[in-house]
Amino acid sequence: MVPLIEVRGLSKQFGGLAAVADLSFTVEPGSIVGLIGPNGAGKTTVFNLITGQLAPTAGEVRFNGRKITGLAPHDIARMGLVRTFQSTVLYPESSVLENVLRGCALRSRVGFWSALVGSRAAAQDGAETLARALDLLRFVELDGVRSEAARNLPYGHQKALGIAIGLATQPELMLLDEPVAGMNAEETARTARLLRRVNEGGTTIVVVEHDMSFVMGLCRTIVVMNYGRKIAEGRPDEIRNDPAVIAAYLGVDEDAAAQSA
Amino acid sequence: MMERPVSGSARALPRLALATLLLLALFIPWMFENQFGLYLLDMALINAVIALGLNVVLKTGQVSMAQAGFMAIGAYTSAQLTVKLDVPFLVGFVAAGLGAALVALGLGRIILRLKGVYFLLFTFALNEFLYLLNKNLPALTGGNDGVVGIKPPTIPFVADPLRSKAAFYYLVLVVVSLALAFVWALYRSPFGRAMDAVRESELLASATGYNPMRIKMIAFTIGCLLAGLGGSLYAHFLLYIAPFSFTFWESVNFLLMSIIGGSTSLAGPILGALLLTPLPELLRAYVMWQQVLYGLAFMVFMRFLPDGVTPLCASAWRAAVGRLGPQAGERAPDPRSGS
Repeated sequence: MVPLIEVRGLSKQFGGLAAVADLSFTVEPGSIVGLIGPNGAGKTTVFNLITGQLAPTAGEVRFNGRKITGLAPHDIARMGLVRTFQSTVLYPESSVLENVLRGCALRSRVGFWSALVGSRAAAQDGAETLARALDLLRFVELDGVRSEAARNLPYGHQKALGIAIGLATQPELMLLDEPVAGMNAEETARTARLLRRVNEGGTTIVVVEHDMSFVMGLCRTIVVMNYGRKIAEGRPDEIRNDPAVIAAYLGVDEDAAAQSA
Repeated sequence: MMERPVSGSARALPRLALATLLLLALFIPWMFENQFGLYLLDMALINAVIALGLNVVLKTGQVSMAQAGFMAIGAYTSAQLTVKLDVPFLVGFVAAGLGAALVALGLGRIILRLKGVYFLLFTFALNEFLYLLNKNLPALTGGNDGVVGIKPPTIPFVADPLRSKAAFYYLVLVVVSLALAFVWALYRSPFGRAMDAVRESELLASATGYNPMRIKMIAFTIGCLLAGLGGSLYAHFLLYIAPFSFTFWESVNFLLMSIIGGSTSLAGPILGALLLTPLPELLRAYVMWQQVLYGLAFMVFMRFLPDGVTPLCASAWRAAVGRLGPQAGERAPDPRSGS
Protein backbone atom coordinates (compact mmCIF):
# COMPACT_ATOMS: atom_id res chain seq x y z
CA MET A 1 0.00 0.00 0.00
CA VAL A 2 1.29 3.49 -0.83
CA PRO A 3 1.63 5.39 2.44
CA LEU A 4 -0.63 8.42 2.75
CA ILE A 5 2.23 10.44 4.07
CA GLU A 6 5.91 9.71 3.87
CA VAL A 7 8.43 11.80 5.79
CA ARG A 8 11.97 11.18 4.61
CA GLY A 9 15.15 12.54 6.22
CA LEU A 10 13.32 15.65 7.42
CA SER A 11 15.58 18.18 9.20
CA LYS A 12 15.12 21.71 10.49
CA GLN A 13 17.94 23.79 11.84
CA PHE A 14 17.22 26.95 13.85
CA GLY A 15 20.65 28.58 14.00
CA GLY A 16 22.75 26.09 15.95
CA LEU A 17 19.75 24.12 17.18
CA ALA A 18 18.56 21.04 15.33
CA ALA A 19 14.82 21.17 16.06
CA VAL A 20 14.20 18.19 13.78
CA ALA A 21 17.04 15.90 12.70
CA ASP A 22 16.83 13.30 9.95
CA LEU A 23 13.29 12.27 10.83
CA SER A 24 11.58 9.55 8.79
CA PHE A 25 8.22 7.88 9.27
CA THR A 26 5.18 6.88 7.24
CA VAL A 27 1.47 7.04 7.90
CA GLU A 28 -0.84 4.45 6.33
CA PRO A 29 -4.23 5.58 5.05
CA GLY A 30 -7.00 5.13 7.60
CA SER A 31 -4.74 4.94 10.63
CA ILE A 32 -4.44 7.03 13.77
CA VAL A 33 -0.81 7.77 14.54
CA GLY A 34 0.47 9.41 17.72
CA LEU A 35 3.54 11.63 17.70
CA ILE A 36 4.87 11.98 21.24
CA GLY A 37 7.99 13.12 23.03
CA PRO A 38 9.13 15.36 25.89
CA ASN A 39 8.68 19.15 25.65
CA GLY A 40 10.91 20.65 22.99
CA ALA A 41 11.31 17.35 21.15
CA GLY A 42 10.29 19.05 17.87
CA LYS A 43 6.76 17.70 17.41
CA THR A 44 5.08 20.98 16.52
CA THR A 45 8.00 21.82 14.23
CA VAL A 46 7.30 18.58 12.37
CA PHE A 47 3.69 19.72 11.83
CA ASN A 48 4.89 23.13 10.64
CA LEU A 49 7.26 21.43 8.19
CA ILE A 50 4.60 19.06 6.84
CA THR A 51 1.95 21.75 6.30
CA GLY A 52 4.32 24.28 4.77
CA GLN A 53 4.36 26.90 7.54
CA LEU A 54 8.12 26.26 7.76
CA ALA A 55 10.60 25.20 5.07
CA PRO A 56 12.83 22.25 6.02
CA THR A 57 16.62 22.50 5.97
CA ALA A 58 16.78 19.03 4.41
CA GLY A 59 14.53 16.13 3.56
CA GLU A 60 11.10 15.93 2.04
CA VAL A 61 7.48 15.04 2.69
CA ARG A 62 5.33 13.08 0.24
CA PHE A 63 1.55 13.11 0.41
CA ASN A 64 -0.22 10.45 -1.64
CA GLY A 65 3.12 9.88 -3.37
CA ARG A 66 3.43 13.54 -4.38
CA LYS A 67 6.18 15.74 -3.00
CA ILE A 68 4.59 18.59 -1.04
CA THR A 69 7.75 20.10 0.43
CA GLY A 70 8.08 23.67 -0.82
CA LEU A 71 4.37 24.16 -1.48
CA ALA A 72 2.47 26.99 0.21
CA PRO A 73 0.20 26.11 3.17
CA HIS A 74 -2.99 26.85 1.22
CA ASP A 75 -1.91 24.57 -1.64
CA ILE A 76 -1.23 21.74 0.82
CA ALA A 77 -4.62 22.32 2.47
CA ARG A 78 -6.28 22.13 -0.95
CA MET A 79 -4.72 18.69 -1.48
CA GLY A 80 -6.55 17.43 1.61
CA LEU A 81 -3.99 17.85 4.39
CA VAL A 82 -5.14 20.11 7.19
CA ARG A 83 -3.95 20.84 10.71
CA THR A 84 -5.16 22.34 13.98
CA PHE A 85 -3.02 24.55 16.17
CA GLN A 86 -1.70 24.00 19.68
CA SER A 87 -2.83 27.34 21.09
CA THR A 88 -6.23 27.24 19.46
CA VAL A 89 -6.32 29.50 16.41
CA LEU A 90 -9.83 30.61 15.46
CA TYR A 91 -11.56 33.60 13.89
CA PRO A 92 -12.19 35.13 17.33
CA GLU A 93 -14.65 37.93 16.46
CA SER A 94 -16.86 35.80 14.23
CA SER A 95 -19.70 33.50 15.15
CA VAL A 96 -19.11 29.78 15.62
CA LEU A 97 -21.13 29.07 12.48
CA GLU A 98 -19.16 31.64 10.45
CA ASN A 99 -15.91 29.99 11.60
CA VAL A 100 -17.02 26.65 10.19
CA LEU A 101 -18.43 28.25 7.01
CA ARG A 102 -14.98 29.69 6.29
CA GLY A 103 -13.53 26.19 6.56
CA CYS A 104 -16.22 24.89 4.18
CA ALA A 105 -15.26 27.49 1.57
CA LEU A 106 -12.31 25.40 0.39
CA ARG A 107 -14.61 22.83 -1.18
CA SER A 108 -16.98 25.35 -2.74
CA ARG A 109 -17.02 25.16 -6.51
CA VAL A 110 -18.56 28.53 -7.29
CA GLY A 111 -16.53 30.94 -9.38
CA PHE A 112 -15.75 34.54 -8.42
CA TRP A 113 -18.03 36.18 -11.01
CA SER A 114 -20.83 33.67 -10.63
CA ALA A 115 -20.91 34.40 -6.91
CA LEU A 116 -20.63 38.14 -7.50
CA VAL A 117 -23.74 38.34 -9.67
CA GLY A 118 -25.58 36.01 -7.26
CA SER A 119 -26.27 33.23 -9.77
CA ARG A 120 -28.60 30.34 -9.06
CA ALA A 121 -25.61 27.98 -8.78
CA ALA A 122 -24.04 30.28 -6.21
CA ALA A 123 -27.24 30.39 -4.16
CA GLN A 124 -27.51 26.60 -4.25
CA ASP A 125 -23.87 26.21 -3.27
CA GLY A 126 -24.43 28.64 -0.40
CA ALA A 127 -27.39 26.61 0.85
CA GLU A 128 -25.45 23.33 0.62
CA THR A 129 -22.48 24.87 2.42
CA LEU A 130 -24.74 26.13 5.20
CA ALA A 131 -26.31 22.67 5.60
CA ARG A 132 -22.88 21.06 5.73
CA ALA A 133 -21.64 23.56 8.34
CA LEU A 134 -24.69 22.95 10.52
CA ASP A 135 -24.15 19.17 10.24
CA LEU A 136 -20.57 19.61 11.35
CA LEU A 137 -21.62 21.73 14.32
CA ARG A 138 -24.02 18.99 15.40
CA PHE A 139 -21.21 16.46 14.95
CA VAL A 140 -18.89 18.33 17.34
CA GLU A 141 -21.84 19.21 19.62
CA LEU A 142 -21.54 22.96 19.13
CA ASP A 143 -24.86 23.61 17.36
CA GLY A 144 -26.24 25.10 20.58
CA VAL A 145 -23.73 27.96 20.54
CA ARG A 146 -23.52 28.59 16.82
CA SER A 147 -24.35 32.33 17.08
CA GLU A 148 -21.80 32.91 19.84
CA ALA A 149 -18.57 34.74 18.98
CA ALA A 150 -15.73 32.21 18.97
CA ARG A 151 -13.69 34.13 21.54
CA ASN A 152 -16.51 33.79 24.09
CA LEU A 153 -16.48 29.99 24.03
CA PRO A 154 -15.04 28.01 26.91
CA TYR A 155 -11.66 26.45 26.19
CA GLY A 156 -12.91 22.93 25.45
CA HIS A 157 -15.46 24.25 22.96
CA GLN A 158 -12.76 26.31 21.25
CA LYS A 159 -10.71 23.16 20.74
CA ALA A 160 -13.76 21.38 19.30
CA LEU A 161 -14.39 24.34 17.00
CA GLY A 162 -10.79 24.18 15.79
CA ILE A 163 -11.37 20.53 14.85
CA ALA A 164 -14.67 21.41 13.15
CA ILE A 165 -13.00 24.08 10.99
CA GLY A 166 -10.40 21.51 9.94
CA LEU A 167 -13.07 18.91 9.17
CA ALA A 168 -14.99 21.47 7.14
CA THR A 169 -12.20 21.37 4.54
CA GLN A 170 -12.97 17.63 4.07
CA PRO A 171 -9.38 16.52 4.68
CA GLU A 172 -7.87 13.17 3.87
CA LEU A 173 -5.32 13.65 6.62
CA MET A 174 -5.70 15.75 9.72
CA LEU A 175 -2.81 16.78 11.98
CA LEU A 176 -3.96 17.61 15.50
CA ASP A 177 -1.62 19.54 17.79
CA GLU A 178 -2.46 18.77 21.43
CA PRO A 179 -6.24 18.46 20.98
CA VAL A 180 -6.93 17.66 24.64
CA ALA A 181 -4.34 19.83 26.41
CA GLY A 182 -6.01 21.56 29.34
CA MET A 183 -9.15 19.43 29.16
CA ASN A 184 -10.66 17.52 32.05
CA ALA A 185 -11.12 13.74 31.92
CA GLU A 186 -14.66 13.92 30.62
CA GLU A 187 -13.82 16.39 27.84
CA THR A 188 -10.80 14.27 26.91
CA ALA A 189 -12.94 11.15 26.63
CA ARG A 190 -15.47 13.03 24.50
CA THR A 191 -12.69 14.25 22.17
CA ALA A 192 -11.30 10.71 21.85
CA ARG A 193 -14.78 9.46 20.84
CA LEU A 194 -15.09 12.32 18.37
CA LEU A 195 -11.72 11.60 16.76
CA ARG A 196 -12.55 7.89 16.48
CA ARG A 197 -15.73 8.80 14.62
CA VAL A 198 -13.77 11.17 12.37
CA ASN A 199 -11.37 8.33 11.64
CA GLU A 200 -14.22 5.92 10.91
CA GLY A 201 -15.45 8.49 8.42
CA GLY A 202 -12.26 7.89 6.44
CA THR A 203 -9.97 10.65 7.70
CA THR A 204 -6.47 9.61 8.68
CA ILE A 205 -5.22 11.26 11.87
CA VAL A 206 -1.81 12.18 13.25
CA VAL A 207 -1.98 13.53 16.77
CA VAL A 208 0.60 15.26 18.98
CA GLU A 209 -0.38 14.98 22.62
CA HIS A 210 1.14 14.80 26.11
CA ASP A 211 -1.80 12.97 27.68
CA MET A 212 -0.38 9.42 27.54
CA SER A 213 -3.54 7.50 28.34
CA PHE A 214 -5.33 9.46 25.58
CA VAL A 215 -2.61 8.64 23.05
CA MET A 216 -2.26 4.99 24.12
CA GLY A 217 -6.01 4.49 23.92
CA LEU A 218 -6.52 6.20 20.57
CA CYS A 219 -3.49 5.36 18.42
CA ARG A 220 -2.49 2.09 16.85
CA THR A 221 0.98 3.37 15.97
CA ILE A 222 3.11 5.75 17.99
CA VAL A 223 6.24 7.63 16.92
CA VAL A 224 8.42 8.91 19.75
CA MET A 225 10.75 11.87 19.31
CA ASN A 226 13.45 13.33 21.51
CA TYR A 227 15.81 16.20 20.64
CA GLY A 228 14.44 16.24 17.10
CA ARG A 229 15.16 12.58 16.42
CA LYS A 230 12.92 9.54 16.24
CA ILE A 231 13.86 7.25 19.12
CA ALA A 232 11.10 4.65 18.81
CA GLU A 233 8.12 3.60 16.70
CA GLY A 234 5.59 0.90 17.32
CA ARG A 235 2.33 -0.25 18.92
CA PRO A 236 1.33 1.36 22.24
CA ASP A 237 2.36 -1.72 24.27
CA GLU A 238 5.77 -1.78 22.58
CA ILE A 239 6.30 1.92 23.24
CA ARG A 240 5.32 1.60 26.91
CA ASN A 241 8.14 -0.87 27.51
CA ASP A 242 10.76 0.63 25.21
CA PRO A 243 13.90 1.41 27.24
CA ALA A 244 14.84 4.38 25.04
CA VAL A 245 11.40 5.92 25.56
CA ILE A 246 11.51 5.41 29.30
CA ALA A 247 14.97 6.98 29.39
CA ALA A 248 13.78 9.96 27.34
CA TYR A 249 10.84 10.66 29.63
CA LEU A 250 12.51 9.90 32.96
CA GLY A 251 16.08 10.88 32.14
CA VAL A 252 19.12 8.62 31.90
CA ASP A 253 20.63 9.84 35.13
CA GLU A 254 20.53 6.76 37.37
CA ASP A 255 19.77 8.71 40.55
CA ALA A 256 16.96 10.71 38.92
CA ALA A 257 15.54 7.51 37.45
CA ALA A 258 15.60 5.84 40.85
CA GLN A 259 13.93 8.84 42.48
CA SER A 260 11.16 8.97 39.90
CA ALA A 261 10.52 5.27 40.28
CA MET B 1 -22.64 37.49 8.78
CA MET B 2 -25.29 34.96 9.62
CA GLU B 3 -27.08 33.30 6.78
CA ARG B 4 -30.51 32.70 8.05
CA PRO B 5 -33.59 32.39 5.96
CA VAL B 6 -35.31 35.75 5.97
CA SER B 7 -38.92 35.91 4.98
CA GLY B 8 -39.75 37.60 1.69
CA SER B 9 -41.44 40.68 3.10
CA ALA B 10 -38.70 41.26 5.66
CA ARG B 11 -36.23 41.23 2.82
CA ALA B 12 -38.36 43.47 0.62
CA LEU B 13 -38.86 46.18 3.21
CA PRO B 14 -35.25 47.37 3.57
CA ARG B 15 -35.02 47.28 -0.22
CA LEU B 16 -38.10 49.47 -0.45
CA ALA B 17 -36.60 51.87 2.08
CA LEU B 18 -33.32 51.91 0.13
CA ALA B 19 -35.17 52.63 -3.10
CA THR B 20 -37.02 55.49 -1.40
CA LEU B 21 -33.71 56.88 -0.17
CA LEU B 22 -32.28 56.71 -3.66
CA LEU B 23 -35.39 58.40 -5.06
CA LEU B 24 -35.03 61.18 -2.48
CA ALA B 25 -31.37 61.54 -3.47
CA LEU B 26 -32.53 62.34 -7.00
CA PHE B 27 -34.32 65.45 -5.79
CA ILE B 28 -31.51 66.82 -3.64
CA PRO B 29 -30.28 69.44 -6.16
CA TRP B 30 -33.69 71.14 -5.87
CA MET B 31 -33.42 71.28 -2.10
CA PHE B 32 -30.10 73.09 -2.07
CA GLU B 33 -30.57 76.81 -2.25
CA ASN B 34 -26.90 77.70 -2.32
CA GLN B 35 -24.39 76.36 -4.77
CA PHE B 36 -21.76 75.94 -2.08
CA GLY B 37 -23.83 73.30 -0.31
CA LEU B 38 -24.15 71.41 -3.56
CA TYR B 39 -20.42 71.78 -4.19
CA LEU B 40 -19.72 70.19 -0.79
CA LEU B 41 -22.16 67.38 -1.52
CA ASP B 42 -20.48 66.63 -4.85
CA MET B 43 -17.08 66.59 -3.15
CA ALA B 44 -18.42 64.36 -0.39
CA LEU B 45 -19.70 61.82 -2.91
CA ILE B 46 -16.38 61.83 -4.81
CA ASN B 47 -14.63 61.24 -1.48
CA ALA B 48 -17.14 58.48 -0.73
CA VAL B 49 -16.04 56.52 -3.82
CA ILE B 50 -12.40 56.73 -2.70
CA ALA B 51 -13.15 55.96 0.97
CA LEU B 52 -15.22 52.97 -0.20
CA GLY B 53 -12.15 51.73 -2.06
CA LEU B 54 -10.08 52.06 1.11
CA ASN B 55 -12.77 50.08 2.95
CA VAL B 56 -12.14 47.13 0.61
CA VAL B 57 -8.42 47.25 1.43
CA LEU B 58 -9.13 47.57 5.18
CA LYS B 59 -11.38 44.52 5.01
CA THR B 60 -8.32 42.32 4.43
CA GLY B 61 -6.61 43.90 7.46
CA GLN B 62 -4.20 46.13 5.50
CA VAL B 63 -4.16 49.83 6.42
CA SER B 64 -3.16 51.81 3.33
CA MET B 65 -1.86 55.38 3.58
CA ALA B 66 -1.51 55.70 -0.19
CA GLN B 67 -5.16 56.15 -1.14
CA ALA B 68 -4.57 59.80 -2.15
CA GLY B 69 -1.58 58.67 -4.22
CA PHE B 70 -3.74 56.27 -6.22
CA MET B 71 -6.38 58.97 -6.48
CA ALA B 72 -3.65 61.18 -8.00
CA ILE B 73 -2.73 58.49 -10.54
CA GLY B 74 -6.36 58.44 -11.66
CA ALA B 75 -6.72 62.22 -11.64
CA TYR B 76 -3.57 62.87 -13.72
CA THR B 77 -4.30 60.01 -16.13
CA SER B 78 -7.79 61.25 -16.82
CA ALA B 79 -6.79 64.94 -16.93
CA GLN B 80 -3.85 64.52 -19.28
CA LEU B 81 -5.63 62.08 -21.60
CA THR B 82 -8.56 64.45 -22.05
CA VAL B 83 -6.50 67.66 -22.20
CA LYS B 84 -3.51 66.53 -24.26
CA LEU B 85 -5.01 63.75 -26.38
CA ASP B 86 -8.57 65.05 -26.37
CA VAL B 87 -10.11 61.64 -25.63
CA PRO B 88 -13.75 61.58 -24.39
CA PHE B 89 -14.32 61.84 -20.65
CA LEU B 90 -15.55 58.26 -20.29
CA VAL B 91 -12.35 56.89 -21.85
CA GLY B 92 -10.25 58.99 -19.47
CA PHE B 93 -12.44 57.90 -16.55
CA VAL B 94 -12.00 54.19 -17.31
CA ALA B 95 -8.29 54.66 -18.01
CA ALA B 96 -7.95 56.41 -14.63
CA GLY B 97 -9.38 53.41 -12.82
CA LEU B 98 -7.39 50.89 -14.82
CA GLY B 99 -4.18 52.90 -14.47
CA ALA B 100 -4.43 53.02 -10.69
CA ALA B 101 -5.42 49.33 -10.59
CA LEU B 102 -2.46 48.32 -12.75
CA VAL B 103 0.01 50.19 -10.54
CA ALA B 104 -1.59 48.53 -7.50
CA LEU B 105 -1.33 45.12 -9.14
CA GLY B 106 2.34 45.67 -9.98
CA LEU B 107 3.30 46.98 -6.55
CA GLY B 108 1.01 44.66 -4.62
CA ARG B 109 3.10 41.55 -5.13
CA ILE B 110 5.95 43.21 -3.27
CA ILE B 111 4.30 45.46 -0.71
CA LEU B 112 1.46 43.17 0.36
CA ARG B 113 4.02 40.87 1.93
CA LEU B 114 4.37 43.59 4.55
CA LYS B 115 1.94 43.46 7.44
CA GLY B 116 0.56 45.81 10.04
CA VAL B 117 2.64 48.90 10.71
CA TYR B 118 5.21 48.00 8.04
CA PHE B 119 2.58 48.05 5.30
CA LEU B 120 1.27 51.32 6.70
CA LEU B 121 4.76 52.88 6.68
CA PHE B 122 5.51 51.69 3.17
CA THR B 123 2.25 53.06 1.77
CA PHE B 124 2.98 56.33 3.58
CA ALA B 125 6.35 56.49 1.81
CA LEU B 126 4.67 55.53 -1.47
CA ASN B 127 2.24 58.41 -1.13
CA GLU B 128 5.13 60.82 -0.55
CA PHE B 129 6.99 59.36 -3.52
CA LEU B 130 4.00 59.84 -5.82
CA TYR B 131 3.58 63.39 -4.46
CA LEU B 132 7.20 64.25 -5.28
CA LEU B 133 6.81 62.66 -8.69
CA ASN B 134 3.80 64.88 -9.38
CA LYS B 135 5.81 67.94 -8.31
CA ASN B 136 9.01 67.13 -10.18
CA LEU B 137 7.89 65.65 -13.49
CA PRO B 138 6.51 68.78 -15.19
CA ALA B 139 6.49 67.12 -18.61
CA LEU B 140 4.02 64.52 -17.36
CA THR B 141 2.17 66.27 -14.54
CA GLY B 142 2.67 69.99 -15.04
CA GLY B 143 4.82 70.08 -11.91
CA ASN B 144 3.81 72.52 -9.18
CA ASP B 145 1.47 74.33 -11.55
CA GLY B 146 -0.60 71.21 -12.04
CA VAL B 147 -2.95 70.63 -14.94
CA VAL B 148 -5.28 73.46 -15.95
CA GLY B 149 -8.07 73.60 -18.48
CA ILE B 150 -9.58 70.20 -17.68
CA LYS B 151 -12.96 69.92 -19.35
CA PRO B 152 -16.17 69.07 -17.52
CA PRO B 153 -17.44 65.53 -18.17
CA THR B 154 -19.28 64.80 -21.38
CA ILE B 155 -21.61 61.82 -21.44
CA PRO B 156 -22.84 60.10 -24.60
CA PHE B 157 -26.45 61.02 -25.52
CA VAL B 158 -26.31 63.99 -23.13
CA ALA B 159 -26.06 67.15 -25.18
CA ASP B 160 -24.22 69.46 -22.79
CA PRO B 161 -21.09 68.84 -20.76
CA LEU B 162 -21.90 68.48 -17.05
CA ARG B 163 -20.85 72.01 -16.12
CA SER B 164 -23.26 72.73 -13.29
CA LYS B 165 -22.88 71.26 -9.83
CA ALA B 166 -26.36 69.81 -10.10
CA ALA B 167 -25.56 68.00 -13.35
CA PHE B 168 -22.32 66.70 -11.92
CA TYR B 169 -24.20 65.52 -8.87
CA TYR B 170 -26.15 63.02 -10.96
CA LEU B 171 -22.99 61.65 -12.54
CA VAL B 172 -21.29 61.12 -9.20
CA LEU B 173 -24.51 59.69 -7.73
CA VAL B 174 -24.53 57.05 -10.47
CA VAL B 175 -20.86 56.24 -9.85
CA VAL B 176 -21.34 55.99 -6.06
CA SER B 177 -24.40 53.76 -6.51
CA LEU B 178 -22.63 51.44 -8.95
CA ALA B 179 -19.52 51.27 -6.76
CA LEU B 180 -21.65 50.59 -3.69
CA ALA B 181 -23.61 47.85 -5.48
CA PHE B 182 -20.38 46.25 -6.67
CA VAL B 183 -18.73 46.28 -3.25
CA TRP B 184 -21.96 45.08 -1.62
CA ALA B 185 -22.08 42.09 -4.00
CA LEU B 186 -18.38 41.48 -3.38
CA TYR B 187 -18.80 41.45 0.42
CA ARG B 188 -21.71 39.04 0.42
CA SER B 189 -20.03 36.67 -2.06
CA PRO B 190 -17.62 33.96 -0.84
CA PHE B 191 -14.82 36.41 -1.61
CA GLY B 192 -16.15 38.67 1.15
CA ARG B 193 -15.89 35.72 3.52
CA ALA B 194 -12.32 35.14 2.33
CA MET B 195 -11.39 38.76 3.07
CA ASP B 196 -12.84 38.48 6.58
CA ALA B 197 -10.93 35.24 7.13
CA VAL B 198 -7.61 36.76 6.07
CA ARG B 199 -8.18 39.82 8.27
CA GLU B 200 -9.07 37.82 11.36
CA SER B 201 -6.40 35.12 11.12
CA GLU B 202 -4.07 34.82 8.17
CA LEU B 203 -2.52 31.74 9.80
CA LEU B 204 -5.81 29.86 10.04
CA ALA B 205 -6.98 31.12 6.63
CA SER B 206 -3.89 29.80 4.86
CA ALA B 207 -3.97 26.53 6.80
CA THR B 208 -7.53 25.90 5.59
CA GLY B 209 -6.94 26.62 1.93
CA TYR B 210 -7.28 30.38 1.46
CA ASN B 211 -4.47 32.05 -0.47
CA PRO B 212 -3.95 35.23 1.59
CA MET B 213 -1.64 36.86 -0.96
CA ARG B 214 -4.13 36.45 -3.81
CA ILE B 215 -7.03 37.68 -1.69
CA LYS B 216 -5.10 40.75 -0.53
CA MET B 217 -3.95 41.44 -4.11
CA ILE B 218 -7.51 41.42 -5.47
CA ALA B 219 -8.79 43.60 -2.62
CA PHE B 220 -5.92 46.09 -2.97
CA THR B 221 -6.41 46.31 -6.74
CA ILE B 222 -10.16 46.91 -6.39
CA GLY B 223 -9.53 49.51 -3.68
CA CYS B 224 -7.04 51.39 -5.85
CA LEU B 225 -9.31 51.09 -8.89
CA LEU B 226 -12.00 52.98 -6.97
CA ALA B 227 -9.40 55.55 -5.85
CA GLY B 228 -8.44 56.07 -9.51
CA LEU B 229 -12.07 56.48 -10.59
CA GLY B 230 -12.63 58.96 -7.76
CA GLY B 231 -9.50 60.84 -8.83
CA SER B 232 -10.89 61.20 -12.34
CA LEU B 233 -14.19 62.57 -11.00
CA TYR B 234 -12.23 64.99 -8.82
CA ALA B 235 -10.20 66.30 -11.78
CA HIS B 236 -13.26 66.82 -13.99
CA PHE B 237 -15.19 68.45 -11.16
CA LEU B 238 -12.61 71.06 -10.05
CA LEU B 239 -11.22 71.35 -13.62
CA TYR B 240 -7.77 71.90 -12.11
CA ILE B 241 -5.43 69.55 -10.26
CA ALA B 242 -2.10 70.10 -8.56
CA PRO B 243 0.19 68.01 -6.33
CA PHE B 244 -1.03 69.59 -3.08
CA SER B 245 -4.45 67.93 -3.53
CA PHE B 246 -2.97 64.46 -3.12
CA THR B 247 -0.74 64.75 -0.07
CA PHE B 248 -0.31 62.36 2.81
CA TRP B 249 -2.94 64.38 4.71
CA GLU B 250 -5.53 63.49 2.09
CA SER B 251 -4.75 59.81 2.68
CA VAL B 252 -5.20 60.36 6.40
CA ASN B 253 -8.53 62.00 5.60
CA PHE B 254 -9.78 58.94 3.71
CA LEU B 255 -8.71 56.76 6.60
CA LEU B 256 -10.57 59.02 9.04
CA MET B 257 -13.68 58.83 6.87
CA SER B 258 -13.52 55.06 7.01
CA ILE B 259 -12.96 54.93 10.76
CA ILE B 260 -15.41 57.66 11.78
CA GLY B 261 -18.06 56.23 9.47
CA GLY B 262 -17.30 52.72 10.68
CA SER B 263 -14.80 50.48 8.93
CA THR B 264 -16.80 47.31 9.53
CA SER B 265 -19.74 48.22 7.35
CA LEU B 266 -20.46 49.42 3.86
CA ALA B 267 -22.38 52.51 4.92
CA GLY B 268 -19.30 53.56 6.94
CA PRO B 269 -17.20 55.19 4.23
CA ILE B 270 -20.27 56.89 2.71
CA LEU B 271 -21.37 58.37 6.05
CA GLY B 272 -17.77 59.22 6.90
CA ALA B 273 -17.32 61.14 3.64
CA LEU B 274 -20.64 62.97 4.09
CA LEU B 275 -19.64 63.96 7.64
CA LEU B 276 -15.98 64.83 7.15
CA THR B 277 -16.00 66.61 3.80
CA PRO B 278 -17.97 69.64 5.06
CA LEU B 279 -16.32 69.61 8.49
CA PRO B 280 -13.41 71.98 7.68
CA GLU B 281 -15.98 74.45 6.29
CA LEU B 282 -18.11 74.24 9.41
CA LEU B 283 -15.06 74.88 11.56
CA ARG B 284 -13.87 77.73 9.36
CA ALA B 285 -14.98 80.37 11.89
CA TYR B 286 -12.55 78.85 14.36
CA VAL B 287 -9.77 78.50 11.85
CA MET B 288 -7.09 78.65 14.55
CA TRP B 289 -8.70 75.77 16.33
CA GLN B 290 -9.63 73.76 13.26
CA GLN B 291 -6.89 71.14 13.55
CA VAL B 292 -7.31 70.92 17.31
CA LEU B 293 -11.06 70.39 17.06
CA TYR B 294 -10.49 67.86 14.32
CA GLY B 295 -8.08 65.92 16.50
CA LEU B 296 -10.41 66.13 19.49
CA ALA B 297 -13.34 64.86 17.46
CA PHE B 298 -11.21 61.98 16.25
CA MET B 299 -10.16 61.01 19.79
CA VAL B 300 -13.73 61.18 21.03
CA PHE B 301 -14.72 58.82 18.21
CA MET B 302 -11.94 56.35 18.95
CA ARG B 303 -12.86 56.36 22.63
CA PHE B 304 -16.65 56.22 22.50
CA LEU B 305 -17.55 55.04 19.01
CA PRO B 306 -14.74 52.77 17.81
CA ASP B 307 -17.12 51.21 15.26
CA GLY B 308 -18.00 54.65 13.91
CA VAL B 309 -21.40 56.25 13.53
CA THR B 310 -22.81 53.43 11.42
CA PRO B 311 -24.08 51.30 14.33
CA LEU B 312 -26.00 54.36 15.61
CA CYS B 313 -27.49 54.96 12.17
CA ALA B 314 -28.15 51.24 11.77
CA SER B 315 -30.24 51.04 14.92
CA ALA B 316 -32.10 54.19 13.90
CA TRP B 317 -32.64 52.61 10.49
CA ARG B 318 -33.90 49.39 12.04
CA ALA B 319 -36.22 51.33 14.31
CA ALA B 320 -37.58 53.28 11.34
CA VAL B 321 -38.00 50.21 9.16
CA GLY B 322 -39.40 48.27 12.11
CA ARG B 323 -42.11 50.86 12.55
CA LEU B 324 -43.07 50.47 8.91
CA GLY B 325 -43.87 46.78 9.25
CA PRO B 326 -43.87 44.09 11.91
CA GLN B 327 -41.96 41.56 9.77
CA ALA B 328 -38.70 43.42 9.89
CA GLY B 329 -38.53 43.06 13.66
CA GLU B 330 -38.29 39.29 13.29
CA ARG B 331 -34.97 39.43 11.50
CA ALA B 332 -32.18 37.51 13.12
CA PRO B 333 -30.07 39.80 15.29
CA ASP B 334 -26.57 40.51 14.10
CA PRO B 335 -24.34 38.10 16.04
CA ARG B 336 -21.74 40.84 16.41
CA SER B 337 -24.07 43.18 18.22
CA GLY B 338 -25.81 40.33 20.04
CA SER B 339 -22.78 39.01 21.89
